[in-house]
Amino acid sequence: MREKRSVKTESKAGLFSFKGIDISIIFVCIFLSIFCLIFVYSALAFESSDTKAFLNIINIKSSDRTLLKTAVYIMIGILWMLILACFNMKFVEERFPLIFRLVRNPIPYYALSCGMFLFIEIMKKVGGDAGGETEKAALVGGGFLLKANGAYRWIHIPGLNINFQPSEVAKFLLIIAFSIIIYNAGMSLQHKRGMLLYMAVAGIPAFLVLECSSDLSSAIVVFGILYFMMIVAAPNIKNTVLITAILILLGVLAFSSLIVMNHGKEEADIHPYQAKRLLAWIYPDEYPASSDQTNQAMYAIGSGGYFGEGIGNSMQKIKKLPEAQNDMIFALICEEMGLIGGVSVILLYLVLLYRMYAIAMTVDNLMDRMIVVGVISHVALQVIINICVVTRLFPNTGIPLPLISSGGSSIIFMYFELGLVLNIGRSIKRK
Amino acid sequence: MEAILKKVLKNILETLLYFKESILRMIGLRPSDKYGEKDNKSSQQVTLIRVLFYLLIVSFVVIILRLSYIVSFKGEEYKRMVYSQRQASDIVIPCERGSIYDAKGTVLASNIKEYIVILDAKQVNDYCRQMGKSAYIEATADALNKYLGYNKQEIIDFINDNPKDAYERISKEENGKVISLTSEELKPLMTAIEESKMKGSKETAIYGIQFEDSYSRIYPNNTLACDLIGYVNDGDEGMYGLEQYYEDDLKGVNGRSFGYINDYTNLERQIVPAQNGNSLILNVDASIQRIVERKINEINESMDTEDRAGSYNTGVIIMESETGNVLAMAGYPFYDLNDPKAVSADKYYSQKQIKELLSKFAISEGYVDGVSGNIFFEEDKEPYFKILNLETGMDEVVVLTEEQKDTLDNDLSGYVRDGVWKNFCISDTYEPGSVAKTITTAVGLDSGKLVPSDSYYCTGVIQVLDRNIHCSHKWGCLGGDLRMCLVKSCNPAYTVFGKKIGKETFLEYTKDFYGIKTGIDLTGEVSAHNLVFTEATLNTTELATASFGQGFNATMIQMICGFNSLINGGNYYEPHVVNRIVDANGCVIKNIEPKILKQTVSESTSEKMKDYCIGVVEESEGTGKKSRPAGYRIGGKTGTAQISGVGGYQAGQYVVSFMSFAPAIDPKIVMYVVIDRPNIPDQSSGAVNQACILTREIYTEVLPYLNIPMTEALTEKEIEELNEKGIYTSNIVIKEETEEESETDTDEMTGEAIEPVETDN
Repeated sequence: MREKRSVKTESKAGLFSFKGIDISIIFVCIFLSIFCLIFVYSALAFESSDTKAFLNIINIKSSDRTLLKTAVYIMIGILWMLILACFNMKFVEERFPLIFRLVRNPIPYYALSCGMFLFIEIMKKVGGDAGGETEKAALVGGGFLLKANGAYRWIHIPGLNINFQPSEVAKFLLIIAFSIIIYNAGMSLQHKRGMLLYMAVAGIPAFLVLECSSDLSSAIVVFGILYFMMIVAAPNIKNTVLITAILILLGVLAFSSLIVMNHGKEEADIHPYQAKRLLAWIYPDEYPASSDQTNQAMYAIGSGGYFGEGIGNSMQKIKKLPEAQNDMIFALICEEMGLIGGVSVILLYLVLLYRMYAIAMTVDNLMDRMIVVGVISHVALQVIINICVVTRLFPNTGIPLPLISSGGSSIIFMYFELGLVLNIGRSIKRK
Repeated sequence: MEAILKKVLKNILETLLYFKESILRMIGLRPSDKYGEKDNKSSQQVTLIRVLFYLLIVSFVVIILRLSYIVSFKGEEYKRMVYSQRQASDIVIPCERGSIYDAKGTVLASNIKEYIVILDAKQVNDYCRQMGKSAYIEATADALNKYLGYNKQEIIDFINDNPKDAYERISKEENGKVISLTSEELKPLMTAIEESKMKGSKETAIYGIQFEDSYSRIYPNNTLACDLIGYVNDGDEGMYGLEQYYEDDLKGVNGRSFGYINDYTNLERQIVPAQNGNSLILNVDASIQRIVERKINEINESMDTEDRAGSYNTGVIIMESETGNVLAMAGYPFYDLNDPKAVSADKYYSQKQIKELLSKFAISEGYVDGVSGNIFFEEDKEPYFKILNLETGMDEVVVLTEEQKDTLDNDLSGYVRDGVWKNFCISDTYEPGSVAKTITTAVGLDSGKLVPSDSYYCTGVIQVLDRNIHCSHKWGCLGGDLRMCLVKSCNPAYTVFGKKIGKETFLEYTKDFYGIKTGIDLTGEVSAHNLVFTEATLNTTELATASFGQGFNATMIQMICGFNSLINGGNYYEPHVVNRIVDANGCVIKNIEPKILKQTVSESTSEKMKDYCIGVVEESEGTGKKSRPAGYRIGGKTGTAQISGVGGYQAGQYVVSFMSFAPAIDPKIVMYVVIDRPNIPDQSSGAVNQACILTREIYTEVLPYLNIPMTEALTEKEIEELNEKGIYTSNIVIKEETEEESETDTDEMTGEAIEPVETDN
């Protein structure tokens, strides 16, 4: 691998190079970010006119504050994407072989992503819980955790006053870790034993996401990404089909048993809440409270018509559509820009995915290919799950729409991943 | 057995060993198996990626189909859901439209708070259920019946039929339009509700009646400055004038109160407060405006006859010379801003005029042919037309159908409303007449094509190609130098001067004056650019007539802005009605500063123009002598123009005007008075005096009001007149009585361009 790279880049490599960068990906990202700014603002602008101090300097409306913050996230994200895209690994490889070997080791990535969730678990025990399922976000766990809606989805860094979502960071780190793992030990995937081992290794962080931050949807996405990477890499297709079939069977069994066990019970008595959502998906009329969110999203999409109500004119965003700036932003786009707006967003994603797909097809290094496949799976899974949720093709679950939903961690780390893809894309163009 | 166990153990051991090896390889402690390259499995991977990508496309297609399905087949249903969710819980908190104040803080437009009556059937039903009796429904209906006169049974039915409706606006007109009631109208009901709920009250408590705030526009001064302000229509939109021009500043943003049912089926509310509109503070002074409007009314009343009103339109603009600020602007006829719809034809036109208008409309609607149709009204009879049949020489009678009559009525009321609502000063164009001679003179002087010593000897008529242009003095005014020609307003002289200036210079200068919008901050300004001569149309005859203000159209505001620049040193100001915009708390949001748009003429030209215009008022032969107010020196220029219509200029139809500035030295204000078709018997010679008199009347009161000191001696008679008007002055200097010129003499002298253009044959 090392030899091959040095053949590819005969010119003397500096630390950064812009050559061969895939401009279309950058443009699609910018378009999606423009959608992000418009609709995040639209979702929040009506809310209230109370002001909060921003950076302790000026008082501005809270919606303007969110808009500003999102713009800053996008700017940081794009900057880092470009830095990562232009970074020459070759340079590090030649000058600092030790660092290069460290970077090529999966353990730090893996340990960091699992460690974040273990940290949450520990802080939960140590720091104590404020108790109760409050709607408002509250600092708990010795000031290191941010609890909202009864789930611990943010880690708070006290000195810097930064909150981030460990699950978003973990997705990024795990894609790199498992690309290296597959690169190192891909041959073992030809046996069933090897695949099971891989799935076990991939299952641990997914399980931690579910257990420590009670975030089933993120856990599914994490496992899904790693699973698709495995499917592509596994040499024996028969085994892949077998294991996939077994997994689907298990999943269907689990779902149906949940449904059978809980169907008929009073809505309030059903636990866990995932079962409630599952039932509400199948029997929307019987569980009005649980299916309300999806109903509201569907009303939004339907009332938007073909051309939409006009930007800023959504009625559903006013106290009807929950998380209109976040998980439900697609419904808001459909209400304000109509079917046309919704389909254009989907097509933008398709262009983005196609450009990455083209890179994955041409790149000839296994590790690079795995990274691209991981990023493609990440974007595709989130887009599909998010839109399927608002159109009631899937049960309700909270997944942000990549690059469009507000949320700093999700935006910034998605840009990180795209930066990696661009970097890889650069190397093939130079052949 | 043992063998099996051994085999299992061995298997487990092998697997563990395999796991160990694999894990070591994974973390890079064993050399990588380089599988992707060595085994050439990359083609298989590429195929797998392709398959997965196709799956991805398929799922995207499914999603798009699903979206289309929702939009196409469920769209209507879901839209209804969205609205039905809203109706019960969404309440608009009305914002207050910004007020309009004059320069001294007098309120010209503001709002009063009124109330819309809301019936909350849910509350009534809830109480009935709680207390286990239905007397509350009765009590509520009774109260509404007693104090507001609603049908009791209808209310009871409504409450019973809509037990979940918490918000129903019930103060409505017959046609279903929601109206608001004043606090006076509602006071008895409010007291009754309050008393019924007091402890120890014997009455059944009245529940479920609520009052929603709303604002309605009031104009405390009714007709004052109506054309300037405009009004607010039923949809709360400003119409005409400032209300429309500053709509975005005035209107504000309605607040909303969102009620929504949360997961525990409780009603929660979130309130977005209303943002009140910004207010306007005008340059206009209501006192000056009132003087102007009163004088306009007086002069129109004095000319009023049975046949027709005093004039078709009378417009007056007063502007500050050094800023372009509009101090007053009025366009007769006036209307009541509080009831803008109440402009009936009877109020503004005589029966004869109405008949004429109806005949005109009947012809244009095609109900009768030709131009000879006349409508007749007779009591107990349908209105009918008499048409002269040319073949038989007899009158034919055409009776109108109901439908046709309605159409004519609509046409008439539309015409009347349009005419009354629009601002004559900025929206109507007319031929400016001799006032334009000031511009011609200034153009000549400034370009050097004319010098003050240029003179002309007037014999009464001059021939331009095939046309004769007459002077107002039948046998010639004898003319004189440039100044005297302006003073006497000699048309033949200006024919010559226009030729001297030449087409190019004339066009180049006048494009700053005519055919452009001045940019005044009022809705409805027209530029008349297609009614002005152009390079192509300005031939010899046109140049001659244009030099003395005929043959093209202008608006009042164009003329006054242009003239103002001639006498203030050449500064063409953008006219401003509004001085500043302030927010609901009185903080200034925007200051509208005076703005010089262009330099039209030089300062020395401007000095000469001032001198010439003073001559018009002061010289014994000046046409504007009658305009001089007692105690002041002013300058000005008269104007009389025939109205052109079908087939040339209309006999006896004049627009007379007087443009003036005061005081003569260092002018503070500029005033322009235009009377459109004054109703006096001899329009040609005496008409312009009406404009001069109106000017004089207004100055007499406005100049002392502005604290501009009197500089001229007063005669006993003048002091008497001033005292009569309640104006007392300290600098009483008795001037010795000069011999008064005879009235007839003056009239003849002030007579203006009679039939300025007429063909010889």
